[in-house]
Amino acid sequence: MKKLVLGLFVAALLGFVLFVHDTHTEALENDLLVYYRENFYADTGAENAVAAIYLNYRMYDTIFEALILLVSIIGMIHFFRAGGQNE
Amino acid sequence: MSEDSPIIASITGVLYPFIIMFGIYIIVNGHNTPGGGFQGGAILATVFIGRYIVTPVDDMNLHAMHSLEKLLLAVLILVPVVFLFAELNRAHAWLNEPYLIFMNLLIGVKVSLGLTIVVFRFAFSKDR
Amino acid sequence: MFELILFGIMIVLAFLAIETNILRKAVVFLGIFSLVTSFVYLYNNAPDVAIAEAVIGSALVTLLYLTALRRYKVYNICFTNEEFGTVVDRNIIEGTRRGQLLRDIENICLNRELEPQIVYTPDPLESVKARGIYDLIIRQEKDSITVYGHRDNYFVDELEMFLILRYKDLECSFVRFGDDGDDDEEQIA
Repeated sequence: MKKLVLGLFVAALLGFVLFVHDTHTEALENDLLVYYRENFYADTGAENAVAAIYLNYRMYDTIFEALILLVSIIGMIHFFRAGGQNE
Repeated sequence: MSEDSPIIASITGVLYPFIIMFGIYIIVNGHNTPGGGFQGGAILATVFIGRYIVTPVDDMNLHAMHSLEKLLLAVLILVPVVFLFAELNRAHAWLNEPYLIFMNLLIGVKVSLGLTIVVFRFAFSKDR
Repeated sequence: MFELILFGIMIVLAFLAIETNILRKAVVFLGIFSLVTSFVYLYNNAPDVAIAEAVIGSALVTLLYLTALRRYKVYNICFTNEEFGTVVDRNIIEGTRRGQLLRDIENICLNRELEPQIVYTPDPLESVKARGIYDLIIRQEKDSITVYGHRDNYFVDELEMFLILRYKDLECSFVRFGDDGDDDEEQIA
């Protein structure tokens, strides 16, 4: 019974998402897309546009991502403080 | 996953150099081909974690790895501040490619160290 | 068309990963699921994301789950005796301490890297079974004991062999039950 209700709920959710996806018509302006695609090699010297974006245009994003990794590892080390090597 | 399967151990031993080579290729060519620091670093981390699955020994110096990771984060913040935010990349365009390769290397080493620390910390801690 | 086939495989794999009872199989299904996802990304011209998904999803996370499974497995054992205090079998209860049999079960659990957690109760079997949180239920009636184990639990077979070989004179029977509650009696040693 519980499984049936959950299955119906998931099916209804799937239907809702597909409905929204089908009826959605809003589109973003793509000025930035055009600019990046035309100028990334001249600006950054990278042939891979993704590398150009995450190492040049969006550098703050990369820095704080690295910071998040470090913070999560510090949390992990304190969470498992009593374990393994310290004993 | 039996405890000490000789088949898995020897096959993984043969695969290690290729996995390391593939990871370094992904990192160093990150600015020209798909991939980059994060993906290559994750590939390098699988080497260490696969080694844990084959022979679970606790002989890594996690403390030194953690210190190295902090140092790498400092360098990772310092290099763009000096090179990118000071707009040196417009004055010296030839520095762009070395900058990209160096940053990818930094990110790759940092990510591989970080993921290895996470898994080894988790695997060798006694309390919960 | 190719993409639709991949989506179908993904749905089937996700369903299998949820429905299987053995955790290690679920981990492997999730790994294959991630691999198929990375093919979908590649098909949609996102090789960067595809590489990240393949490495993280099917290699790193699979290894992390296997590490977690190896490290931490709690095995819930419930010991029920409806006439607690009236009949004492020295194999099972010695005074207030656990007897030889339970200690042996605990030891083979530890050898298999399972973490045994034993609960003692005088409740009747039906109410214990209705709680549904125990992997193994041991029931004592006078001198005989009955072991109830889930049908998908491979550890019960090992335990059965061990008990038959070790305690030849003990009256001991084994019952397997499924999710729907039907029992099938197996043998009496």
